Amino acid sequence: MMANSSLLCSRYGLLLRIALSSLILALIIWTVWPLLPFGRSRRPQTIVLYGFSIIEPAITKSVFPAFQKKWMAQTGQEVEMIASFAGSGTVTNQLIMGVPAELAILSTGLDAARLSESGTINGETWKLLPYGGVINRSPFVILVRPGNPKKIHDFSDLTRPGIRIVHPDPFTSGAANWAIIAEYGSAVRQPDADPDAGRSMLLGIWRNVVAQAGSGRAVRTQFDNGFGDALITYEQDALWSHSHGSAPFEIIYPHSTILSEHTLVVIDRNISEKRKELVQAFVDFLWSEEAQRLFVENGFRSVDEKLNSANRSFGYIADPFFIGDFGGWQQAKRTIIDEIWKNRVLKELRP
Amino acid sequence: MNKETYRKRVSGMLPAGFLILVMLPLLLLPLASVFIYALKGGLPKFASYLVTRDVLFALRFSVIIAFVTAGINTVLGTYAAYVLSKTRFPGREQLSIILSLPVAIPNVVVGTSLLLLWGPIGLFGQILGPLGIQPMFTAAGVLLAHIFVTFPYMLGTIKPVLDDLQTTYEEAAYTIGASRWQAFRYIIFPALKGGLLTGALLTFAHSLGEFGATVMVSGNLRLRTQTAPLYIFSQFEGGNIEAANSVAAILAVVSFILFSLILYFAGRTRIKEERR
Amino acid sequence: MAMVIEQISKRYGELCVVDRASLDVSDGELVVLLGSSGSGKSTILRMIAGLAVPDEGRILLNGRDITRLPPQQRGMGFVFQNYSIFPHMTVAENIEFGLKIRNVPVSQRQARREYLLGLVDLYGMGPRYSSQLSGGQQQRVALARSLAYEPPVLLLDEPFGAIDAKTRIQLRQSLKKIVKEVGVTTMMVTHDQEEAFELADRVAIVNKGCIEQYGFPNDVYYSPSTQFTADFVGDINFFEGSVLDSSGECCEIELFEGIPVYRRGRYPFQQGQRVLYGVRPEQIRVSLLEPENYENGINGTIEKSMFLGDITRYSIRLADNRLLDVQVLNYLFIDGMVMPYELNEKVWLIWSQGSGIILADEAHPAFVSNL
Repeated sequence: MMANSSLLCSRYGLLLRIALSSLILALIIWTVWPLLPFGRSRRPQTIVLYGFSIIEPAITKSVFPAFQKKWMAQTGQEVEMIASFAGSGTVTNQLIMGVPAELAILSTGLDAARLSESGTINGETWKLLPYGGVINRSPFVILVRPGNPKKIHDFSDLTRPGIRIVHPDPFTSGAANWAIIAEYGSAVRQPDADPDAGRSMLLGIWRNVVAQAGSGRAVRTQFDNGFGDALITYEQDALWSHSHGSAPFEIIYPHSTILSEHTLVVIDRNISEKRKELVQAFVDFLWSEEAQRLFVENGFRSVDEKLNSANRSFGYIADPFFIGDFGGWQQAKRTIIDEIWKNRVLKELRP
Repeated sequence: MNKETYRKRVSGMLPAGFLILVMLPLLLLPLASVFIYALKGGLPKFASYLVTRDVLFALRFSVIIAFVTAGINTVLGTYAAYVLSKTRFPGREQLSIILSLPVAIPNVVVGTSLLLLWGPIGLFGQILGPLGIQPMFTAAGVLLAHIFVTFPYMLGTIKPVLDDLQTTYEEAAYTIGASRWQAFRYIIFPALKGGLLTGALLTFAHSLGEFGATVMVSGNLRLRTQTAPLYIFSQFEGGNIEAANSVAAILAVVSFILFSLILYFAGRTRIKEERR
Repeated sequence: MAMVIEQISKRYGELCVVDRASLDVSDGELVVLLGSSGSGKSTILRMIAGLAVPDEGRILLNGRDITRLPPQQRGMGFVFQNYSIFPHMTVAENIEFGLKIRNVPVSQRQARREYLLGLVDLYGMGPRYSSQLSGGQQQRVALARSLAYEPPVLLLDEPFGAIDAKTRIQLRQSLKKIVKEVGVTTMMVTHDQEEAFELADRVAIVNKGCIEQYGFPNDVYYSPSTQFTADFVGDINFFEGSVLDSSGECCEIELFEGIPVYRRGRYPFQQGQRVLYGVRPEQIRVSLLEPENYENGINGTIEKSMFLGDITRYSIRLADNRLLDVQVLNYLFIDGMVMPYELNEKVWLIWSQGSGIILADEAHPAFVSNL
């Protein structure tokens, strides 16, 4: 009786063992298939790029494929992009930690400066590139729910009690830093602004922040999922979402707002001699008319003003300003982000 | 009579029903929503999300890492369990606790600590850097992190089996004439087989789903070091919820199969133990 | 001598588990180590097998020093108390394991296995697993497994410990038969004195790591050399006394209240020396009549009687106020003619001057003077 049942058991076990081992074998074969010599084609050349999150679709879906085609036509070689996208601050941290990036597109010049401070790049090399390394721009706008139920028309409306704002996290996101300067700037650029206007604007807005996320992209996903009444983000991000069937929202153009400037950094130490030509070709391509037009198509404002009329969705901004108006990122970071936002506003909010 | 048995059956199912009710919002519905979102656009769309190069690479990369992790940890974990269980030395208990710590430490911390050791600014990194070796942000880095994070699962499965295995089996083998290796090969190993399989599957499953440490050390490069969970995370952040959920659904199915196997083997070893 | 153990000691930290134990075992002899649990007897066995290394002393096997040889190279047969039948192997695989390790060809292995299965009376059990066997069967598998590779010495650690009392008695005889048939030199450890006497050619009494006595069973029983042995092996009643005269062929001892007892034979005691005099309960008979002059006797009062079926046990209060237990075979009582003793009845306890044990009193060695 006992022997019988164990025999049954072992026969069942044998079947199962066969099934299991063939399953595992199949899995292994499938996994290593591309690594097998006959399953692999010649490896294309690669460019390794780390970018801040909002730039991802424009680069991966239009600009890079265009470059691929061009490079193929010019040299007959295939080229492929190996890329990773995250909040600008996160990307910068990764670069400092030593990820093998050859190019980085950062949301702010501030992050670029951190790279030169940490020795990841040799000095402020991006400033030697065309337009000081800026590849495109995008004004900061406010997204609200359809029909604008909270009647938000400018940054000052965001300070009203009861407005719930989702905001990217300034510690990891470039968008958040831009947003803070935009909020601050819109207040201090009013003709009758008192000296404390910037701080009280920031205090009013940040009192209403209900959720934060690590990157401009992540925070938009939160907003899409129904969090908050308002989101401060790149115009490009709003336009791009609109054209890709996200949940409906409205774009509010503030009277005064900043145009973000996105900086390309070439990490020379990670570029081998062999790749130099390819990487340089891609860098040059980014400022070519073709690439700039593609950026405009994707909702970015070109560094070349005359191309911007091509995109009809771009809204009108009465009083655009730049980081240069605040003495550049180094000074703005010290005087606005650190001294006012971090040391005063945050402390007042969470004593 | 019939009504009576019906009532009995219903009351017998009540505890299970209650459990499901409690678990519904906690676990079952979120899991279900993964599949709902994955299949929202219909099967062809679901499949189209899966056959992109990025997804296929991420899945393959994850599976390879999981295989290698399971393989290495099977050897390493068995050896550690054997040493901790069958030898006596001062600090044995403490070492055993330390080796189990990765379970309790957030994986992100594990990733960071690896980065701080092997990265360009770390102790090993500074030694290896000039030699042109940089394990972080490569497959090797991901592997290191996964071995670190999943090690306790192997140890935790094997050590209790070894602890329970009476030393007289080994001693009997020795007196009969078996060398240490033969005793391991013929006596201890067969007793461990169920545990090894369970441990390897557990390690494999954990490696497949590992996120926290991987995100720190992989560099998250598509077609290079992006594992399936990292791909899912990137897609979620990018708002491609369907794409993310399609891959998540695949991982969920694979994990379900893996854990069924684990339960089956764990159950079988237990039956054997009891028969003994 | 097949095996000689010379003065081996084993300490675990402060604790001395085995203390200068010496034994010699002849070819084909069956030696039993008898001792209570924790006496160190199993440790001696483990040192012989090589599972423990002695701190001092030597173990010689056929003249060769094997003290520090690993167990694998000793090739001893060892039957563990729990048998340790490998659970994932069949009975046949278990038995053949030692031969497989030694690369014996399959055909020889099978022949040897069949022979052994027959020897231990387990024909046809080859394909079974240990979980399908009774305790007794497992023990015999363990025996067959350790005999497979023809070990020079077979070591058995409490082989009947895990078996119920009834089966145990049957198995003892079959074990002895098997061991004697194979002719293997055997050393067995047990705490059961009956088992030891039944099986042993010679028995060694182990106490606190020391060999108290080593000899033939009846010598150990009737001439224990220490109080411990006398107490441990069977029951015994001890009296303190002092020697009156041991010069001749008979030793005269004075017990409490001047009661004299005699023991035939020559003893090396001095006059006045304090001694212990012991007599086993079964050597004492109870009588209403006074002892003859060739007998020893003490009188007392029956205080308690306990009917135990074939025997009755009486507790008798002696003159020095102590209680002494004696057993009386119940067949001696004949209904209506010879009646059992009654409570408070005055009786004589009588035993032969040829029985009784005299030991020097270690607790009171001091000899004062002539009385």
